[in-house]
Amino acid sequence: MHRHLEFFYGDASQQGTKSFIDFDIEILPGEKLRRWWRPQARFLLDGTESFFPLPMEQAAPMFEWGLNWCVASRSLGYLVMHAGLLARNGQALMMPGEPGAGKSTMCSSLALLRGWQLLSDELAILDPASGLMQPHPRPISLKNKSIDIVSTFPAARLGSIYLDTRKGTISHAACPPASIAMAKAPAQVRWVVFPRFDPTGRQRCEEISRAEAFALISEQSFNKERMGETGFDALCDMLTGASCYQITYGSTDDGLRLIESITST
Amino acid sequence: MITCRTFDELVAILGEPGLAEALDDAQWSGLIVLARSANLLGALAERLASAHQSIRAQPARHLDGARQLSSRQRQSVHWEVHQLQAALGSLNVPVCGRRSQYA
Repeated sequence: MHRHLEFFYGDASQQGTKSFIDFDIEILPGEKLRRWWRPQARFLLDGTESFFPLPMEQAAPMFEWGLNWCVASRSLGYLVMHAGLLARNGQALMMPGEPGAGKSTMCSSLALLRGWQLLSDELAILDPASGLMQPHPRPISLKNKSIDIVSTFPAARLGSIYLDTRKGTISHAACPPASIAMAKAPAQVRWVVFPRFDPTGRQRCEEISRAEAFALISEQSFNKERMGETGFDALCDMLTGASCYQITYGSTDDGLRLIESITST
Repeated sequence: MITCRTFDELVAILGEPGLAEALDDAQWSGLIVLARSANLLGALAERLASAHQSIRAQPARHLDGARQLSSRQRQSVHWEVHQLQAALGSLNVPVCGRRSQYA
């Protein structure tokens, strides 16, 4: 856990207890016997444990999942959606998708091979007041095969590998320093792409209507319902300036080519 | 873990929102944790807003989030009541339901 924090968050400023804290998180050892026998780690928010404990060696993945859960469940007036988010010159590419659609691999490829600004590989955060997407640069969570793919990228910095987690084998890739430096630079959604990985290699790209995109994104939103009219209006406004596509790709190269043809317009 | 402020202080600020003026960042953190755990974050947000209390940006996010959620819940309750009215109104009998999750 210490290694994970040092490796990925070493540059994060260590603020004293005098500053305002949005999420008060603790990772603590298991209670009683579980401190010693098959030791466990616990995740606490504001002193309350909201998940089942996990084996101690999975403390780092639990920390990352826990942070995602914090942002998704206590969204502080933002509309939070399950999507990868990148940007170039302030214009954002949003990739909502179910697990397994290849979001993290595509995010890593665009950020590490093509120099896109990574806002997040998992959480697209929309500020209803400005209509802009807020960066949330953190390590990219990689699962199973995507670990092998991303580890071949020259710019990739991967952390430890965690076996047998509830999502399979997990590792994390560091967010590029340039993206971290732009953590305060919001972006406007210009393209929404729903990716789908197809191992048979079939390739397809289809433009879809904003209404269809609205319905699909709503399924991937954590708190649109809870935000009522504000959430509805924010999502409508976000899509007003966006072109929306569904793509199917069989390899990272194909995926990158399709994304490039979309974003070069 | 953040040391929570005491309930007395929370109650004092609910009674006199102007007291929030003097809070520093760390005290705001504690107050918001406490109000949230006491299920009074929405009430605190409403009190401060109706007193036009100026609040620094970071705690304001938490308070705005709470107000947004309450207004959505109010809307849901209205909707439910309208549906009840439409379904049962013509029977002209008193309607008494279980306590709603929005209560």
